[in-house]
Amino acid sequence: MNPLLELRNIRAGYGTIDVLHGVSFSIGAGQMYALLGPNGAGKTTTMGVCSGQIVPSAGQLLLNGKEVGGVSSDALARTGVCLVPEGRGVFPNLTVLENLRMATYAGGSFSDVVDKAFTQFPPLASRRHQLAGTLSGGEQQMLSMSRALATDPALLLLDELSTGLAPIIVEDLYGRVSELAASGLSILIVEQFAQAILGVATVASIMLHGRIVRTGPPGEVADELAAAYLGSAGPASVVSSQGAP
Amino acid sequence: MTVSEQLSPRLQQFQAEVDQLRVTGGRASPERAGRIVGVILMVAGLVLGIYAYFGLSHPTTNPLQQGDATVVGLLGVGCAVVGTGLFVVFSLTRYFRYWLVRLIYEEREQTDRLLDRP
Repeated sequence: MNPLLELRNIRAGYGTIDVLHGVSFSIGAGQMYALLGPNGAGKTTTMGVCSGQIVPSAGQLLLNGKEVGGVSSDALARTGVCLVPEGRGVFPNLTVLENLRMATYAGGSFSDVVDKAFTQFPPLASRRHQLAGTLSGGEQQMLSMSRALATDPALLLLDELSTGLAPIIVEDLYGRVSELAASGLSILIVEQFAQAILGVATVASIMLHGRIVRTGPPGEVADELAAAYLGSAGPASVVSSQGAP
Repeated sequence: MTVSEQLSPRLQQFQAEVDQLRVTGGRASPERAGRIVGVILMVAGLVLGIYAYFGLSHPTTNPLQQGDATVVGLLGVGCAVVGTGLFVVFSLTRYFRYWLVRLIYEEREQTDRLLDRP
């Protein structure tokens, strides 16, 4: 069976500046893949490539075995590739309900979207008429995720879910994410603060300077995280398990 | 989690929708190609102009050949003008894109500072 998402030797960047220097990984159905790395490693750029917002300068992006390089981000979103962006992925000047209405682009009825959102994230129900910009950070992330989930995605891309949130809220959010993964949804998570997701991911990779330097079970990758973040590990010193014999 | 060989209905739908996607083959930097074409046309225009004068017109007194040289020279001028236009347009597109991204980024930073967000 083809992986749901596959990146083959992707190179991408902004203008003349290359950020990704040959990134390769794949995510199977129902897998929860954690992409870890320090600030500036290229994680968000990878998300941009996966969601079609950044066109790679080389390499292949495949969905379910089909190359989709050059397909627009809105076409990918309609097929079920859904990105929850870093920070505030909500419209701050719209209310919670109005934000949820924006998720009806995928064809679902408004009442279904609202029901789904309030069932999965009950705290939002009492805030339904509140402006999204005035919600707490955790509630904004819940709204952002509920809007994504309302579109019934096949592949969910979560970019730095923990940004600016208290650890207890992060733990709660990742608890919900792991429930989603258990229900069969494929998820790619990008995180700087690794401990939050190592307990729930099925596979984890460390990204440094635009390259994946280590891939493996979260337990094994966790041991090398500190070294990688502190700079003692690099592409030459950490052997990728994918490339290892 | 073990991956079931039996695809869920949602994944079957996803597979069907992906198969229907029209792949056009993206270009990472269309402006770069435009600028390169512009430079090539500018150089070609210059070469044609020089060739028209020194290669075709100057060595002869034959009016027919000098007329041909005029046509080649004008072609060179046309190439140079179009090339310059392409170069300027694509250079400005690139600059303004960068400028817009910077503007958006600074505005977001400013909002964060105003609301005292981390």
